[in-house]
Amino acid sequence: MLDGIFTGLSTALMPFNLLMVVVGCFAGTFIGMLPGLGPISAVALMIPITYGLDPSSGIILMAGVYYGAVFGGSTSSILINAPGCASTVVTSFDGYPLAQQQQAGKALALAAYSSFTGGTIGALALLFAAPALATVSLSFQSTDYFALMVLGLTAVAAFAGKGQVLKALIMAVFGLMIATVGTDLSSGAPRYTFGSVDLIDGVSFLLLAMATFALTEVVMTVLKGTP
Amino acid sequence: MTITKDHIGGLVFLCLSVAYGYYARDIPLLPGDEFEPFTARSVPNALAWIGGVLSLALIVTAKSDTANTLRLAGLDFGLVSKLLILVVLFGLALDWLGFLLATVLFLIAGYWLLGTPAKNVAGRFGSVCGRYLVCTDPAAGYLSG
Repeated sequence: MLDGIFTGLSTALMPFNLLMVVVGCFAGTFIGMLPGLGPISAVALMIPITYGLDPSSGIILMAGVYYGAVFGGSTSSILINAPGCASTVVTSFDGYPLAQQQQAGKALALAAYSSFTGGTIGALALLFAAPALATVSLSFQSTDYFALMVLGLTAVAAFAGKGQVLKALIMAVFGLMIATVGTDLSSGAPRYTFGSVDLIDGVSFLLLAMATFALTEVVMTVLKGTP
Repeated sequence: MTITKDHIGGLVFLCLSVAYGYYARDIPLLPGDEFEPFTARSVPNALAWIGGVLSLALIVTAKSDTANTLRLAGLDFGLVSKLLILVVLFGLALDWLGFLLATVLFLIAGYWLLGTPAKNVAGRFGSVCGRYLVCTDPAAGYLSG
């Protein structure tokens, strides 16, 4: 195990690969900042650039782009309440109210520190826990996935504020209703597509996040007439 | 009785659940599905019932305090309606005119509607074109490769 770790570290610490990390994080942050563009779009845009690189440098570049894009998404979440991916939706809960109180700098700095700390601890934990996690993941069956989803949905009620449990459950049901739009995975039957080809693939998460957060913010700002 | 935001929210979600359950009948079934315990309609039907029960519970349990009442005074619904119509037109124009032209026209109309100074419009044109080029050129290379 240690041999593998040292080999990986020697590859990762090569000057060119370190440059790839910096370039990837910068490009990812820049792309992630644009509302509507998340880490998947950022990595997809970087694929042509990795053609000329050796495999390890290419993967390092794309990992940097991914992490940068996830962090960059927090910028649009904090400043304009427009998250670009699932992980930055939570940032907008506290970040945007802080920005409205003229504390945007503090929120952005906190997001940067948290992103760096979480990413570093996560990578280190994965380094040592990967073999054990691989064993657990192989033992995961359909029932375990179902139990995990039920846990996630019930957590909605558990984390809801006092007197807000009903509303939280209603929102969970509303989310599930939207998730049923599109082709049914088990039977292939179209559900709630109303004959539209655009709805066959369902409603994308990004579209939903933009409609829920960004569009609502725009409508409320225009309604109240406050810039 | 005071009508609060919770009452209105519950009522809206009740209507949504009823409509959702109604349209669940349009989901096509496979031959023999009538004998199956679980079909493509099962989850939508269950969600419609759960949604209906939860929204009724919200309507019944909502407190009628005055602090939670809906106040519409001072809200500019006219401008919001125009903006939403513009968004719908933008969605339709995307197919007819393409991203670049539709977005530029949407921005012109949006800025005019919201009364933004003309000097900011030019900067946004550059932003749209730049974003379009960033999103199409490398991706096009990737797709053709």
